[in-house]
Amino acid sequence: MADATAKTVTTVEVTTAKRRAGRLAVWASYAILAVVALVVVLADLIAPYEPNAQDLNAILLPISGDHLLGTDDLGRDVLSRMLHGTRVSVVAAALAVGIAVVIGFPLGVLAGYSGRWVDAVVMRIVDAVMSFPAIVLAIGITATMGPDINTAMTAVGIVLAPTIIRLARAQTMAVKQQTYIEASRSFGARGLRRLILPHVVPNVIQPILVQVAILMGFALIAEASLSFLQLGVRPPTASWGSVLSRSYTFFDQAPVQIFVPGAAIALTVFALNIVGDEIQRLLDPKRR
Amino acid sequence: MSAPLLELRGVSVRYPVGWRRRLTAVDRIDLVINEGETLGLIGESGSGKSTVARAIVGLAPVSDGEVLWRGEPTSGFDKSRRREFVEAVQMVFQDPHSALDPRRTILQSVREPLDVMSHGAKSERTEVALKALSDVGLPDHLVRRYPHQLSGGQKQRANIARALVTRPKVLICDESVAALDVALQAEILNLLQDLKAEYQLTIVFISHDLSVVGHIADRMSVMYLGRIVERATTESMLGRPLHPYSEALLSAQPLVSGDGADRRIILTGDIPSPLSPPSGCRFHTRCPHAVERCTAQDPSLLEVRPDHQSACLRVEELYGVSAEGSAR
Amino acid sequence: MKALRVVATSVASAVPTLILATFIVFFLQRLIPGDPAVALAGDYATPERLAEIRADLGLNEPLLQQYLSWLGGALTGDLGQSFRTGQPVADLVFERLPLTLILTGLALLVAVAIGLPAGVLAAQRAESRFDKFLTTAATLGIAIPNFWLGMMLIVVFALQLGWLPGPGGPSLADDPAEAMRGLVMPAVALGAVGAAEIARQVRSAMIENLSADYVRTHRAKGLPSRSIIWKHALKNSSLPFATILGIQVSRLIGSAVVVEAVFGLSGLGSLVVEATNQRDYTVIQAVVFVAAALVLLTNLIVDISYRILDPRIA
Repeated sequence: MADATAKTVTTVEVTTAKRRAGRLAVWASYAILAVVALVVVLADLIAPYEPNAQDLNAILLPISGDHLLGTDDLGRDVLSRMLHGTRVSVVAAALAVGIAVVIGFPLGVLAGYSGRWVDAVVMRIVDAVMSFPAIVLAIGITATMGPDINTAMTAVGIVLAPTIIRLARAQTMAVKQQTYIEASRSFGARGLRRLILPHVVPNVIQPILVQVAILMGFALIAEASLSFLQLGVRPPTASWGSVLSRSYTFFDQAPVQIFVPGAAIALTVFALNIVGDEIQRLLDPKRR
Repeated sequence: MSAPLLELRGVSVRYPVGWRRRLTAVDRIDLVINEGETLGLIGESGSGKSTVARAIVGLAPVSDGEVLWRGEPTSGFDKSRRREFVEAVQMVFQDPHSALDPRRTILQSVREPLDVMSHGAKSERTEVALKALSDVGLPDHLVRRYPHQLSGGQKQRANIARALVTRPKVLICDESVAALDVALQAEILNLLQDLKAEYQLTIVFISHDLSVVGHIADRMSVMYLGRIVERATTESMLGRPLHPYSEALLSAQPLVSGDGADRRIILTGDIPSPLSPPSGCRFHTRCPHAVERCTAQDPSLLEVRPDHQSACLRVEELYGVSAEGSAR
Repeated sequence: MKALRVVATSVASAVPTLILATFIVFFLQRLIPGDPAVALAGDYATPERLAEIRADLGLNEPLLQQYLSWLGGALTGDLGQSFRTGQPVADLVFERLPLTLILTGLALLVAVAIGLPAGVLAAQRAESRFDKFLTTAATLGIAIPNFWLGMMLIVVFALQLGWLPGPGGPSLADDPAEAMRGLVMPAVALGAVGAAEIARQVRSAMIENLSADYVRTHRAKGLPSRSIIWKHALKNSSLPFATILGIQVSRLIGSAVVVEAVFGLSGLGSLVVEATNQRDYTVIQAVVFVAAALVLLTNLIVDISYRILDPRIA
């Protein structure tokens, strides 16, 4: 009896300690995303310099009070470029994910709802697109259409769409089996306005939100990769990827300048993944 | 003779299964539902009784035969008659929880049929829904809650309210109390009896549970593997079943009938797959009285006593009654 | 005989996807802004020259015929000529392919060597502090862009410590030993992120298995827990593991393209970057095609092993 009590206490303690450790990562992630969001909105106000202002008398300066992250090979203030680049990168990633959702969500719901040949056709296309390494297909599309950030992010959106399609389809198929759909059909609810919009979409959308957080992370890395390959933003525009790309040309002289943009990407993507997991946990019906 | 309110004439429901195979869930059944009565439809799971309900409200495809409303085939209905029919025939589903959309409040769900069928003035629909909710005894303070905040009994009341908002003539209750505990079952059954009087309803009550149906039904039909095997008034059926399957079902019920209950008939095996139904009488694989000819000849449903029909080849040997003339 | 039938079934079921994939690659050509003939010959080409190029490329044929002749070529190893140099594209691709394959293979090795044991250990002590730490570390690992990790490795191990060669080493043909040394950092950069993904996925597959009934039965019978985990649960995780590996190959090939650019390795990645700068559309198309072919081949192998490993399928 005493033994059993002791055991219970330990379990509770372990769970609390674990939960506290887990909470730390979650709160840190919320904080990181809040800072990123603030920078996106306030970049003009908080950046100490014009992001594209060159000062050839102040090339490759180390970290100092005047230039908190130093200057690049054209004498531009790296901190200011990072702050403005945050906006460019986040907007670019949001564009890609937005396109993925706009393409993927309706197709996924359609495939899951209609079944039969519509489903077969959509899923074959999904399989085909997914048989390309995502980044390679995005490179292929962008390289062919001409390097440009909007083109690049559209391409990334296209290669991400299958992920959304699969998820929305699976979720729709699960919802379709629910009795409340049958109940609505029994009194004549059919089609987009009476069945899909009011009953299917609200019950499908939540897991999509989790995926959106995770895909934002992927899109940020894709922006950096494509910009690094000169397929994304064009000079002199600053983005996390273009700052990193530029810094790599003189990394032996100022290694710290490649550290900052990469760390910004890694931390933001980490926070997005953690918050995604957290949303998933909060939505888990077993918790209620 | 005036036409019955609702009638099924030779209705079959078949589903395609895989490559060129079809599953016959309901096989050429006839069913008559008269205005004002409560009809019980009984069978094990897999008997096709729920498919019958789904076929009536148009959720299952009718491959053969006709569903008739006041003597007219529903398949020929135009849009407005179709809507009239849908309004008049409403269904209450088995699982009270999953029958309600988790993202809508109870009031929204109950109001929905009115919106879908453009029933009455928009401004009055909430009033109508609230009235239905109070008729089923759901307290006011619960109507703006979500399904997961309600108990099973409260949710089933909400489901019944949703079926009642269009002022239907027929309520089809598909295992509507099966998911509830016994005390709640009685409560909901009483509620249905009260509502039947108040709304002047005709009720089709589908259940696997003879004791439940026995309490509420005027007439009963027993289904086995997509066919109706016996049909009679409740009194006649419970008093003396004239088909081995009904007999077995009845003997499994404690306290229903004093005489029959002392000798329990245990059915062995599961109900066969409707993909490959047995030859001859479909029940022969499990029937304790089956003989050679049961495997070959398919019995039809014949009148063996007044208001009592049975589909058994050996009805005379086993029960001492004979099939005089053919009954529909 | 059974094996042959299994392979045939798998190949047959992959065909529609393959055909659609070739459609996508073919239609990349259609994305070229403006007239491909102008893109090829330059803005100052004479109309006669343009007509000649169009005829050469078959641009005057109906679309379907263009596709079929392109497909016929692609399947027999003819990927067309370079827009710029006129060289057969297949030669360019196969010259660069080995390096990318070696790099991807090494990265996969790194990813499995770290990711598999980490995932199993975490699952074994699920919900423990160690598990929590590992899961968080894996989440961070997934978040790191691998080409940036490559840069950081260069800064530390080539620039600061001088232990490993930095970018711009000899090619595989010139000096294999030194070239392999040059592949260590790119393989680690690629593999580390893969390891994080593998660890997470193996962990959840194992946790599912460890809670299964047969594991509890073995526990009840008193089998030592190490044997349960390594022999039984891991064996039953082999199917999800095959899937995980399949996904990783696709990811690694994609990431290799970018990492090659960081390390100045002349693999497929650098080829596509060069082709982009020169607007060499047939080369871009060929690289995309070969990458997809590699992924489809991997999926096919995974599919076949599935059918052989799992008696329920096939």
